[in-house]
Amino acid sequence: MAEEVSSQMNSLSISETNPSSSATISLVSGDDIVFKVEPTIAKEMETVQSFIDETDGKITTIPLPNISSHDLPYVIEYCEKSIAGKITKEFEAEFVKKLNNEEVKELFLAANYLNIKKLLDFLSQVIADRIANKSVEYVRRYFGIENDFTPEEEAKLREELAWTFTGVDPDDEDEN
Amino acid sequence: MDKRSTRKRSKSAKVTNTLDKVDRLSSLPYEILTKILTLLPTKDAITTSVLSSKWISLWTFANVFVFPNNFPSITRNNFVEIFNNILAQRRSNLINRLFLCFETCYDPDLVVKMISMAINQKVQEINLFLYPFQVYLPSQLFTCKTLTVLELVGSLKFFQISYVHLPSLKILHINLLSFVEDETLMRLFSGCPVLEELIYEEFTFKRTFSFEISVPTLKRLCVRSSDKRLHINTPRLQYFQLDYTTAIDYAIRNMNNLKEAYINIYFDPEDEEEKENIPNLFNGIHKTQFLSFDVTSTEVNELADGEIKWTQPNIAVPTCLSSHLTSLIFKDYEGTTDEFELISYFLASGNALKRTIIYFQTNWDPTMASNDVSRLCSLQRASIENKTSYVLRS
Repeated sequence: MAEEVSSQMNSLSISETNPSSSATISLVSGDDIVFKVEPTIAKEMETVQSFIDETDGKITTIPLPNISSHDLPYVIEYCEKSIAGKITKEFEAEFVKKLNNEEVKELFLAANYLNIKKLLDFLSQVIADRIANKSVEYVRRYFGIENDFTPEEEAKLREELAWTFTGVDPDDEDEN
Repeated sequence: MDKRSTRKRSKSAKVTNTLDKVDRLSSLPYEILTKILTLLPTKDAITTSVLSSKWISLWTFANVFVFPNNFPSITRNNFVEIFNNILAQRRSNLINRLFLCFETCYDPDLVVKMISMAINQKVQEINLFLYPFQVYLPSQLFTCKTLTVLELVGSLKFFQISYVHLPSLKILHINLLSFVEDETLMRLFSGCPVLEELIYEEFTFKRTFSFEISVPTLKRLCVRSSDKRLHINTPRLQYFQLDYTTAIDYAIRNMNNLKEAYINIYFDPEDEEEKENIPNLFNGIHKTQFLSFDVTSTEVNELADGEIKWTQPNIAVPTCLSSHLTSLIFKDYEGTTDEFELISYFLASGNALKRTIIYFQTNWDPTMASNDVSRLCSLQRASIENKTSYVLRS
């Protein structure tokens, strides 16, 4: 805990000793990498923007401990495209091609945490597409869900819902 | 989101990439997970109840009802039970979308019940693909204030509709197996004050002279009809697609804002009346900025599919060709005299042409094609800027 707080303090002091950068916003990932972005990008991230507003714009360095330096660039890229009005079907298809299942989940959590509605909607669709018509075991692995039913409970449920288990895809596409 | 709690969470939260395999997705708020479930077919959403106790009733909050196809596991014996069960378990009191595609249905009354329920629960999108059993649509469907998208495909029937008011409807798709009276259809169109897109498919020949597709707000129109008459009045139209038309009586008014037109004519070369009337179609859409024109011939055996007969018109060159046409694409060139003369006419008259692409038919002999290319190259061009490319294999 102490370590995390001090890392935040470090980040804060960077922006204070460097007033010329006040035009840009520094986003600090969970693993302490600083990403400098235009204020317009921050506006796309409601959570960040409300943090800035709350401090009357005095604080321009925002710690984002829930988001790693691996995922943050994807979020920033999406926001940049969004501001430029260039979110097309083609862009989204290319964007999602680069992401494995784990990354999609991390970005979904990031989009939820940062409250970026468009990205959240888009990733909801991606996740839905990836779990549609898949077996229960596949979806459990996909989400990392621990099965807390007893074998009897699960068997009973499966029997009640037997009609939903037809035509499920085989599991061989599992990339996790 | 509450800012204070966000900050508090920031301080205490662990850095994510420490690879703790905790089920963080399941710990998201219900409404976020339900969002994913609303994007799944209802069958798949219900299946998630087996994942874990947290998920057991999550699907009941999903505000959509989506059955995109029949399942072999739904039979005459369990149809009513399954759907009544689903309806009884739902906890959302809203339905955004009702999507039903059934090729067999064991209880049309239940389908009507689902439609009525959706209307009462502020439905925004209804997509019905139902055949071959008949369903009579409830009349409240035509006064649903929240509806923005309505697709009616298959063996759906109307009771006499006396009043239509769909104040939010933007997209309408109609493809009915049974005949609907002119009056009913026109009442439907005029009851949609903000309609922007209409897909109208029909395979009857019974329209009377008063029938007209007249929608002042329409921006996109796709028509696929075997009717001999095609009367359209759509002043704001930007996109017009006409598929396999066999019409001979065209009255196309008010297409001054047209940007794109895709025309496919199903052509009977023997039919003189048809030939004479095609210019009426082009007069109606002459303001378009982009035109794709395709001919499908009825006499496939005697006449190659889509073969073009060209007679040099002895009238003045139309201004759309002489001063507006910038791009010409010709597909499946076979090197017939008619085709050669047609292209020759376009190149000699198109003063504004910047780009011409000619695609040869794919099985065309390359040496023959190279002769054709040199013949085409020697043609006189009205526009010196016109860059012509020839594509042997597309």
